[in-house]
Amino acid sequence: MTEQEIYADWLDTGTRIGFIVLVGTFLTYTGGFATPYIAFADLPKYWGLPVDAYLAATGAPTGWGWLALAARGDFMNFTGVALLGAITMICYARVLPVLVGRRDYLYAAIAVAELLILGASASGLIGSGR
Amino acid sequence: MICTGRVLSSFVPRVRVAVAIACCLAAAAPSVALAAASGASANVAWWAWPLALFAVSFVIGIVAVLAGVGGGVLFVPIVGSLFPFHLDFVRGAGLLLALSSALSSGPSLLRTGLASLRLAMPLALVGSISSIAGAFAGLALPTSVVQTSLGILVLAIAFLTWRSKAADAPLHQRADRLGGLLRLSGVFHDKAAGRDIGWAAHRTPAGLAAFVLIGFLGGLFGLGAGWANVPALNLVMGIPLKLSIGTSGLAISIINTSAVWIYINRGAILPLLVVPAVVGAMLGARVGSRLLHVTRAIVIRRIVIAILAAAGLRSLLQGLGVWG
Repeated sequence: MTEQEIYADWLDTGTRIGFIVLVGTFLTYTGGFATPYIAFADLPKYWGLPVDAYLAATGAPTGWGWLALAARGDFMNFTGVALLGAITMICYARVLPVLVGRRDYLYAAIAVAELLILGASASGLIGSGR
Repeated sequence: MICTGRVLSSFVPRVRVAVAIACCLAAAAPSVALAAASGASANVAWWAWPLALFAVSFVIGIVAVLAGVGGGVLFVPIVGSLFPFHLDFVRGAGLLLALSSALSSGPSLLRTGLASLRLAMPLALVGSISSIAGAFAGLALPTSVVQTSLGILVLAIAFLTWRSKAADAPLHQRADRLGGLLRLSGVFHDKAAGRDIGWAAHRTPAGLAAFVLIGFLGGLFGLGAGWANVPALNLVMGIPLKLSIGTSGLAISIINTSAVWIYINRGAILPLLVVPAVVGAMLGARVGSRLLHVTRAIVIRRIVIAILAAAGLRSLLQGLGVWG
């Protein structure tokens, strides 16, 4: 298999899993099967606020703080969102050994550089301040 | 050829029905939103908003794949002006919508050769780096300046795309020096034309420079980086239009990932806004990637121009304070 076919397969599987988790957690949230951090009735008071005012008013977490609230209906949805954000990194990590194995070192270096950029962004090391 | 015609004749009516249903759904969404804008939002049940968002996003997902643009460039002005959510959350959802559309259409485009991973990887790398720099710059500039600049830029791209000749056939059979080093060439099968088309990257350094600029502007405007990818690939690098559109989608899925994490880490994600938009766009992108095979390049080109012109005009008027 070429790296393109491998990337496509992993992208397909990852997107499907992310999609299922996203829909599942959203149905759990809107179906009332898990208590939300912010009640539905209160949401209209907050969704028109800038994000800083929203965070101050609700006490909602930033960064990876949502993990501590992942059992709550609304923050449960961040699991699917994070999965979608991680798919590209997983695909790059999967094709990297394939590129190295084919001695395609230029593209292996490109893949490593992309992984570092995306990893830094996901970790909050860059771009997480406002 | 006869077989292709039969497949098309059986496929197109189903597509038309799907598009008609989507249009009906989308038509209902602005009605709800306009009712809200006219002061009736308090009377709209909370669950009406996710439903309306789903319908709008489904249509945006189809069009985004056909046009090779990030859905965020359509989603942000439409939802930002018609729905009651603050622009911070709309921008976060717009980036996630563009990302999910690109992720959803990616496997099909890669497997059929309509997108090239090899072509996307170096372009996406420079785009990812510069999009982060653009995001920082965007925070320092007044919103009106950013929106006015975006409107002018997108209108200019629409004009250039309209004035240029369609590059439905490869312009260059041999890659330039850097393109040769990166082995940016290949063959893809155009189902609509029923033939194999060879391609080779031309002016690769200029293409990389264009993606640096596109990534920076994408981060600056918070709309993803898709709206200029196709002209850069097609007009600058001489990549055939369909391959440009497919590869643009793949590049969006990589470039947008870095920007999306910034929004997640800032807490600018509202599940009730994000999930219906993402799910609608992902389903729409699946339909769009199938349509891409049977849609003629000139039709796609007209869709691209119309979308860019509408989105650019909207941003320009909003930036000048004339509309919104």
